[in-house]
Amino acid sequence: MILSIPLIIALAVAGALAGLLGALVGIGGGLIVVPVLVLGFGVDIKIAIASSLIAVVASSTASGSVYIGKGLTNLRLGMLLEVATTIGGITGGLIAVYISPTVISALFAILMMVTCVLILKTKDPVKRTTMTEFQSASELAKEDVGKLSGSYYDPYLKENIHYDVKNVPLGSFLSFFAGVLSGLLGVGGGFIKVPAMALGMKVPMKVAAATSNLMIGVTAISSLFVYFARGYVQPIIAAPVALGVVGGALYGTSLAQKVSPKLLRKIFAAILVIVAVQMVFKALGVSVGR
Amino acid sequence: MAGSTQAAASDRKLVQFFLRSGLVISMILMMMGLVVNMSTGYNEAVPVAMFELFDESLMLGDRLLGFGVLILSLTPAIRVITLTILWTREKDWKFVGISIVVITALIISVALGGHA
Repeated sequence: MILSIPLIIALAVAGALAGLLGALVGIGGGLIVVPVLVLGFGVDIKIAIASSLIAVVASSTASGSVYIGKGLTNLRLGMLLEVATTIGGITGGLIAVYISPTVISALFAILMMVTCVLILKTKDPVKRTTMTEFQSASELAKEDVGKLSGSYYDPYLKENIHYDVKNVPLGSFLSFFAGVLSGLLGVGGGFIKVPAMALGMKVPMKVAAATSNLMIGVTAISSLFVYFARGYVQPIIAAPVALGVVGGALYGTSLAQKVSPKLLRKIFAAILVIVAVQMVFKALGVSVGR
Repeated sequence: MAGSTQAAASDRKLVQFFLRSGLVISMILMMMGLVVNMSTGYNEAVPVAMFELFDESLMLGDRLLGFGVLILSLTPAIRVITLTILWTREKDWKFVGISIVVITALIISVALGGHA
């Protein structure tokens, strides 16, 4: 594959749109990057997954550093769950090396359908509008040494929120599963980790979202190392996508404060269904107009 | 209590610094690699494996791109190492042990990738 300057710009724009949409509807860019590369640019699915993982690491690092600055990330909880996600990530990465692209495409289509349902069911994702004000209160956030519990100051409730962490085995099990999906399909897996922490482990939603965001980077590299060592990384494809995703995600985070996500989520869900069907056709070897 | 809060805030700032530095350096290397590849007309998509980054046959643009990907990949790992050091300073041995398990898993992933 020869990449002309217009093609590289197209990859960067595709990455930017993935990052933008991902930030606006509250999912990572990986779910968009893989089908765009496979269906739009004719990239092999394993190379697309490796490129997506690089983009996922980049966007997680960018947004993760912002959340840390606001004092919402529970670093100890993140580290504990990363034991499970890294083992899951390695498992997923190794499975992906051996199974056929057809199976991966089919699994990806299923994942897109599931995400579509989750997006439509989401009523009130973490409000990015509240995040600016957390910056000033970040000095008050702390974690208890030797424990998973922590606290942060909520400027809206005007009180210090202290929380404990429950059901660690359940959270670890679900995190392992999120890691497998991340390594196998090149996604961040936040859609599993956030509810696992918020609903399963009784962690406040804002802390769960921030902690998941940071964890995604380590989860993704555990399988990215497998792809990178095996020669599935084509940096000239991955680099413009990663640059675009970071730019799009940063712009999307600021834009999210101004747009209503409700209609956007419905449009995005419809796009996911169409792309998922195309991925199934691709898996079955049926031409879809290319 | 105030002491531990201050320590937590400074720990977070240090972690934030490493994450941002890694991201910025990797993005600059990737942009430089793209510019070099485009200006030299060497723009074929070739796979670059982690262990081949020092091969003499690798073109400069691809090498820059590859190192950009490598530094980006190492950035979350450096965050884990930073926390291990910070928690060692706090004598939080339980979480030092947990972070060492994560580091070990990441080393295993590199080794398994090379031999898969």
